[in-house]
Amino acid sequence: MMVSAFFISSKTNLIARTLSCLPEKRRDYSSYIVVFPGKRPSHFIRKALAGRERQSVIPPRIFSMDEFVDFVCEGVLKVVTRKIGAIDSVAFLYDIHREIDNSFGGDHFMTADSFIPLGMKMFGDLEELCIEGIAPGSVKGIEHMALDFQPEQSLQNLRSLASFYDSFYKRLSAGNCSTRSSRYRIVSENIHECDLTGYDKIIFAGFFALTGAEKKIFKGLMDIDNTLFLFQQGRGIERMLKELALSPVREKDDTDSAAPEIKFIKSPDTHGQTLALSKILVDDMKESILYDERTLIMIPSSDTLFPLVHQSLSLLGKENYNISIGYPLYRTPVYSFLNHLMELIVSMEGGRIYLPDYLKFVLHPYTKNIFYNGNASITRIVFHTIEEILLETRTKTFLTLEDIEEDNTILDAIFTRLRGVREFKRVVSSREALKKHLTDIHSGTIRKFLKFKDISDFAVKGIEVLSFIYDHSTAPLHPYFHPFTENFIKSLHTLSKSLVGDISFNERRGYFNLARRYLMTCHTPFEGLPVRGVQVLGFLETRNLSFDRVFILDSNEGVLPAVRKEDTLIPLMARNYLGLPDYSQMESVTEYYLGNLIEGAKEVRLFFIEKDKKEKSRFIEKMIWARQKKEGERDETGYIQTIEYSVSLTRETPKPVGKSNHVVKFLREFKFSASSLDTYLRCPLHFYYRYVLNIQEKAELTGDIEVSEIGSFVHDVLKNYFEEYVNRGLLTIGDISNNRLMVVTDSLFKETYGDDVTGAAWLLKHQIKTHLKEFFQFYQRPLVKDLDVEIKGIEERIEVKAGHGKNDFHLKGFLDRVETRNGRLVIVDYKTSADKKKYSIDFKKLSLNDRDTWEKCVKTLQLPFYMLLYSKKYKKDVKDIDAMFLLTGQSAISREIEHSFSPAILEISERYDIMEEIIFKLLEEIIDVDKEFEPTVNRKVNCKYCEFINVCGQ
Amino acid sequence: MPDRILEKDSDVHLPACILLKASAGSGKTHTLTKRFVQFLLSKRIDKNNLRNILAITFSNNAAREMKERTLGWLKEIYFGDPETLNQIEEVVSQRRENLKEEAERLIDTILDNYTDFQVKTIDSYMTSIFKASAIEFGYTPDFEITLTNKRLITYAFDLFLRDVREGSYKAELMEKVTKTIIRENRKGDSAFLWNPANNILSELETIYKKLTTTGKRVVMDDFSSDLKSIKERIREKTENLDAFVENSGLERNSKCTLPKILGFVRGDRFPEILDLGVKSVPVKKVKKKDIASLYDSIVSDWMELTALIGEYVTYFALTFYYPYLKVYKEFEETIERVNRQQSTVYIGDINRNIKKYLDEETAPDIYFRIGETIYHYLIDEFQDTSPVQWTNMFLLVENSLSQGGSLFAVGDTKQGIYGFRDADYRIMKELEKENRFLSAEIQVKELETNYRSLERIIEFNDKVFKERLSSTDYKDLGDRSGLTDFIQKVRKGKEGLGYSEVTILPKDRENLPERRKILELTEELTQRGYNLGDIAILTSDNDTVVQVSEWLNEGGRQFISYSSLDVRIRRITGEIVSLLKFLDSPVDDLSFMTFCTGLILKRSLKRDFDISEEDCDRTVHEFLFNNRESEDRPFYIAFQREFPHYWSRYFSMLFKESGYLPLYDLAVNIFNTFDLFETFTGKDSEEATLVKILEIIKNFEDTGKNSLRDFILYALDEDSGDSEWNIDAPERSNAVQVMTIHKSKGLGFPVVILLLYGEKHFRPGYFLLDDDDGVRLLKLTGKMAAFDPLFRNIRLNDIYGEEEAKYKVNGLNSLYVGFTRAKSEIYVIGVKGERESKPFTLLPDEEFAPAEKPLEVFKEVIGEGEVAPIYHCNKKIEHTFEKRESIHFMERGRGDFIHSVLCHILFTGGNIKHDLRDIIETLNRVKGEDYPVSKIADLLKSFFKREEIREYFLEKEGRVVMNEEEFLDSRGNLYRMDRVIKDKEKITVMDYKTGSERLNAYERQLRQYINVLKEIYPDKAVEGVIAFIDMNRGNHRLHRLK
Repeated sequence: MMVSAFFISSKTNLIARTLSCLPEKRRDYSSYIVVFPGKRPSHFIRKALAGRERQSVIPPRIFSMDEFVDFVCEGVLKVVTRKIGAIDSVAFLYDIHREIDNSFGGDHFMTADSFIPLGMKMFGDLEELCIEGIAPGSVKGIEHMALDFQPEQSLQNLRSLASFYDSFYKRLSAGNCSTRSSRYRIVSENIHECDLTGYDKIIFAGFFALTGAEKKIFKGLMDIDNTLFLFQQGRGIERMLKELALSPVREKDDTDSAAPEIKFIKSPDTHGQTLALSKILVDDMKESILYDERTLIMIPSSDTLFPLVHQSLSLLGKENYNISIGYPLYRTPVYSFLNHLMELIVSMEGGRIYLPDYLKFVLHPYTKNIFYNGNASITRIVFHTIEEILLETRTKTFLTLEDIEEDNTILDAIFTRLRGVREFKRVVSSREALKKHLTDIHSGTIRKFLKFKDISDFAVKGIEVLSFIYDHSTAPLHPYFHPFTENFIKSLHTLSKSLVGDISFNERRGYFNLARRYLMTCHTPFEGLPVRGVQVLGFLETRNLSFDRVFILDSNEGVLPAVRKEDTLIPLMARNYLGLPDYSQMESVTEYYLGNLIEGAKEVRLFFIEKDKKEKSRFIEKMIWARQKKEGERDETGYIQTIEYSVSLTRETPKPVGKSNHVVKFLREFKFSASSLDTYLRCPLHFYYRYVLNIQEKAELTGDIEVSEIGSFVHDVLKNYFEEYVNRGLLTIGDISNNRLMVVTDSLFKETYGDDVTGAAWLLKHQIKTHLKEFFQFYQRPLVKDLDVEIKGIEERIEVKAGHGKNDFHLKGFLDRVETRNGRLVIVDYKTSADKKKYSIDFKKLSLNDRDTWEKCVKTLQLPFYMLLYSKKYKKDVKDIDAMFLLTGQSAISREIEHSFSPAILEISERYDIMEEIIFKLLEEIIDVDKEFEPTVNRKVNCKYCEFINVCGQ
Repeated sequence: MPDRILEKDSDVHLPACILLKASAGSGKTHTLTKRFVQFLLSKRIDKNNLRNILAITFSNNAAREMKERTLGWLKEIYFGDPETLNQIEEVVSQRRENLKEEAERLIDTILDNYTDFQVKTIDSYMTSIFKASAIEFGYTPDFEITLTNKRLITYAFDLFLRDVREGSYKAELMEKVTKTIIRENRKGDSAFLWNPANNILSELETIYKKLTTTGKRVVMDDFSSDLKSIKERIREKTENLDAFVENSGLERNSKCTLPKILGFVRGDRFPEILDLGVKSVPVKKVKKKDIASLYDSIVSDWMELTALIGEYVTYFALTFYYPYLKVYKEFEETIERVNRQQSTVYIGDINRNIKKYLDEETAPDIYFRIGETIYHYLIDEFQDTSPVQWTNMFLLVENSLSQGGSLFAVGDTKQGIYGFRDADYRIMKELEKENRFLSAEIQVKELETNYRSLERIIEFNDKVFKERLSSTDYKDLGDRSGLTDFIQKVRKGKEGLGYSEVTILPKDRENLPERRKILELTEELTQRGYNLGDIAILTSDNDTVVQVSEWLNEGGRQFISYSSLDVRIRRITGEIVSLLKFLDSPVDDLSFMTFCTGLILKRSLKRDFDISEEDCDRTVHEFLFNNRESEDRPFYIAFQREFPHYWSRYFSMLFKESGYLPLYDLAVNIFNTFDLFETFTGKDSEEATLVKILEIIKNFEDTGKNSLRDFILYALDEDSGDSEWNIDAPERSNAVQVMTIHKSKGLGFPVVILLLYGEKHFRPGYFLLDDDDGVRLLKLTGKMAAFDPLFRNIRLNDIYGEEEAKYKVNGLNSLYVGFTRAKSEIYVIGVKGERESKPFTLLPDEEFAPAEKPLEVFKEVIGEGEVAPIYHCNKKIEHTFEKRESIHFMERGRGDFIHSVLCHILFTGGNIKHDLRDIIETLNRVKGEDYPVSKIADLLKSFFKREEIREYFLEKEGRVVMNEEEFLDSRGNLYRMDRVIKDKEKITVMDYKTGSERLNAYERQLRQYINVLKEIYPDKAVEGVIAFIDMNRGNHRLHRLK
């Protein structure tokens, strides 16, 4: 019997040729079946059919090969089984894994969450064995493979795989389930039993590289008169025809088109490609070149999709293109939202949430834009106020949700803030309503994830959370939110109904690991319908289609072809032994379809990235080589263009800011502190931003213990301890009590960090207690023992008005401790650091008349500034005042932690006079209208950690 | 003429092992490629299939370049390039006329089997081995490789810390650890660890990294009791000696440190003793004989004391890291678990794991798994191999040699400068001296001709290394890496050419004479005909690169600074990040203010509102000042009020969009709103920066993070991989290139200006004591080493000395690399401090003093090939918002299910309820659903019961029913209709609806169906009905449309 098979050229349009096999002017084509390898051509042939018939029709049954197999399996062979995918199959595999000895990976994959990714990988290999029709015995017999050596461990793995293979499909069948491959196998083994004679014609078009099962199916169908095969010329096709023992009728190439014009564009990154494409598009548009479905933009790598949409496709307008590609769900903000929620749950301690993660979650755009009576701004204010209050009080890093919901300070603050805005006044009626809103959000999201019965329960709750966000927030305003969420929900639904659904984990973390890994494999399909305008397709979607103009982005190794040699559990030699296709055969599939796409086009632009790990696709190398041979010329520069961006690394130097009279007036009234003057000394511009404009960096709740926090804590402990001794006479040894110190520290710690501290906070508490004890033992007690010490003031706030000459200034300061030692007044300032240099004044190099030396030699003005305050307020002569830093941060505590303004009493006045002069000169300078706020002279040191660095433009 | 290095293939005897010493510019990659091509082309070399040869390089760029070169060679043969053919004929026994055909065949083979064309970095080769065995290591093969272990360790440490709470075992452990750290490390002015968690974490990171590179187990000895006892002995000895001195009546030697030691001993501050010198004895030497014995006794006691201190040093060195290691041990497992859970592997662990697995037995297994046996290895930059890499490679290479394979390793020990990355040039050096392979002899060869530099440059290097270095105390160090005895000949035709100049300038931080010199030189060079792009300025560290860039910036020279490529230091990035921060948190006044005072807004206002930059500055500052204590804070509220036009033009939409747009879309909208590409174009173009920002955001989304806050944190994290943030420096820009010597390795430039400062001191970190038990981590300093501590007959100062020597050799090698980058002219500028001698003593400033410059300049030809034009589209995608409809996925799922049930029903004769149950049960099973059978069956039964509905489900003569049939309209639109009933006279299309009633939309859809059917069945009447299946709890309804 003569098989109807035709062999068309690679330039022929396969869709048009397939259509020509269908009779014209029929209204009902339902007795025709057309099968392509993939799905996308069905849309094109329908469109072509409609174009030809110019009226409505019942179209032929158009299938992808998978659909055809399902159709035969279910509709013809009446096999009624549940078709399962990777995640369901894992349930079977996991059971087998736990039962067999010497399974893959030893003990490493015994928990479900660790096994699932391995199971999914294994499923891929088993399906391949199945579709290729490899008998389980062959896999077992692999050890008889002729090798010069015995790769013992690998053979052990293969034996293990053989056991899986043997059991898996048996269990599948017993469980009334089927997989894609098992269905192919059923159909291929029963193809002779299938009665398809009722159809006028069954056309198989555009096939290449058939699996074992497909070959059997084709061979079976060759015996039926109504079957017709259309093959297209291309590299490797001859081998396939030989395997099928088929000699199709070779059709002449009736197209007169010349070879396509091919150019290559090299880019350093993804965006370069889209920007170069934009240039082509915009130039063409100027020339009124029409862009329609005869133009293809292929993006084999889905991460190029949105750069392409924004940088190039936006030029065309959304009516003029459509996209068909699978976009990974994990790239979407929906995944990120779920991830934040999962991170929040994972970081919980008992029933308490970790505040930095809580804030991250509630300040996620989807959460903070949940509607309150139709208004999203209110929730934003709610959560930002919560953030502010938590930052201000900053007492604990772990709280329960109820702690937040029932905190009246928070509710009051939110309520007051909202009532202050006219438009919200009517909307927010009471604190109770606000509390309910907050509780509802917590319940709709966080509380949902606190407990799971099993995987199914987890997935259902995931769906509920997403539905909650969908229904109650502004998120759906993004047009892709719907498809993203829908596909998330679909994926979670699959998980909830899957055969692994009843597996449960001891820890919530197990569910999240599984979810992350599973969702990593899920995609949202952009279906690209109706077929209209420029076609933006992934690589697989272009199979069997023809276009006049072809733009291919990401033509890189690893993308084109995307096959990876290591992407299997079956080593290459074993694959070859078993007769499984190896990477080279899979690569040839890409080459075949890509080759036809390019051959069929008139104009082709191939874009590739060349940088670091990215190298151009071998197919580009091949095309270049073919061209070089054809032109007899090695030089390729004529047809490879390179994208380069313009770069200028020059920088502007920061500009000074002038003073208006208003500013000067303000400064005259300003209350200067020592730190504000220090700031000015280091960088006048910094002073301007910080003190004149009153701008500060927004604090963040990080969970890390900041150095400043430790400083304040230690100050507070010492304040709480010593304040009761103020003006109580001389201190005695008994007053320096370790026990009381510990009580004070414990109570303050409890107040600040809660009573059940863990981790870094526990360590901090431990360290503070240890070190303060030492401070008492090696500094405070010897001091009291050796000298008569009387405390005169603790954290005393002093404000004075003082000046030199015509202007008086407001000066203020907080003095940690003032005491007398043997009758001499000492101002003490605690420092929790150890570095003397940070607080020194280099009097040797300091010159009153050389302004440049001030910044270099004076690290801080604090001590002389305090001396000034004290002497002015109490009318004391500075020569009778000592001032010192106590460097409590030094690891060895002794009297050496004292860092005095002037170790020698005799030099005090001399030193002080210089410093007082400097202080007032600085103040005069600050209020001098002609003196601009200059940037620092020491940029290297002062700018590195400055919060205003971007304001200056450093 | 035969090739001096590569023998003809007919003379290649396998197994073969060649170690090729290749000085800078001597054609190392050329020779390696030639060897590759020789092996591929030869018919006489066994096992030379493409897939059996592996070339290993040390960077991705080098791998790519080598592939290109190999193909290039073959193409040149094909095109008959005489020079290439001559070279190939030297090494391949084939007739010239056959070579073309053979080359063509080979190129085709390579391109057809590109995966087998193996030029890989050592990391990627090891990764493929690891991947093939991942399951054995407990990983699934889809693991992700991380280049830094920081994130994982931080996370694991965080988990570990959670169990640290009052009374817990871990708290007790941490208490001990902190106590030990503080007690043992206490020094007077050292900082107390208030918050030791961070300190411990950072030590753990380093320890982890360090141990990873060795691949060995760490040995932890608890010497605390020894330490305690030795301290007691020191205490006793010191007190006694001091008393002895005091009572001796001898004059104390003020230089002696005994009193200080005593003070430290009494204050239990032993570590501070380690900083003291012990050369001077406690008393001044006496002449009188009668008290000489007293003196001798004191000296003898003093020696005993210092010996005791030496002992203390040993234990101190051995126990310093003990507390950290104790914690490390505790949470090592956590790290492993976290790695597996997250399916991530730190790159360093790959080698460590392979090392555990790989031995002579398993090597064939490895080859089996990766798919082929490598018989021939070609290794580039051999001097950059690390010990653990080499341990693994060695076994694989040995296995190949034993099967008649080969190794061809090329390197230059003089260019071993990656010591800080654990590369060890000594591996190559030792292999030069001693063959450790059992299966093959090693031939050591050397490339002698320099192809890069002109004669004066070569002369200069000879002078520095072979003369100057050989005559200093660094000679031994120079010998170690071969700096004093290499051979470099001038390439023919390059004799007498080139220019080298050395200038030594005094270190003057105020006036910076080197700055002036550099600016003068760049000026002079360009005047003489060089392009700025021909000049490279090399320095030894990044800070100096930044400094030099600053000078060039001030001097108005265009430059590309390889230490300033991070876009985060560009002002515009700061402004964009500030805007993102503001959008993320509108209460962030600093961010809003940063953006408002920035260039972006200023230029936008100028463009859109014709406001000058000065006016803009003034207005914004006035606004900020006036609102400094406004009740309208945060600032943006006041801004909105005072500048409504600006707000609505620039911020309002972004403010709203930040609530729902994905990160990338939001960024693009910012770019469009402020038209950034157009605004920052021309002379001060920020194109590269702006593209980079978009690229980073795109890549960031690929990590599964798509939130503004996460991105901001990533942008602000200084540790996040800087190379990711680096602008792609254009290949052909006409700008001075400023980079570190390390960065310049492998590159060549027409003119090199090398800026050198005084040698930096050796600042040791961890030392490793490696013996049969495993490795021990040691803390050593120069002063400690001076006590000559001894551990089990191992002199610790030898370890110290070896590390110090390694450091210094790295420094010398670095000089060599710097000096050999120049092709035509080199200018060495030494900036010497008063007391500094190295490396200035090595510089031949007199022989190479400034002299007359050569007239001929050898410029680089830049700019081959065409530049692709690009276009920045500033068109925002307008989204049309449809009425929000609830997602109701569950409801829709149920509707679809009911549709599937109905699809199975042609007519309702017989026992419909039973049929329905059957269908529902089957569908539930097949679809893996669990819809309530009875409930749906009852629903549908009652649906069919209704008179008006029943009619459509009755079996009639001539009636044909099509369920879920597809129809196509004339424009190619596809419709799948629920039920089409073909009767003799009439066609009825029935559309099932579940859920809510939206009649208008349904009618519209049905009309389309009717129109399609009318076209297909023009001779029949077509009727449409909508069947509401479950409206109002079983209140089914039919809506007819005609």
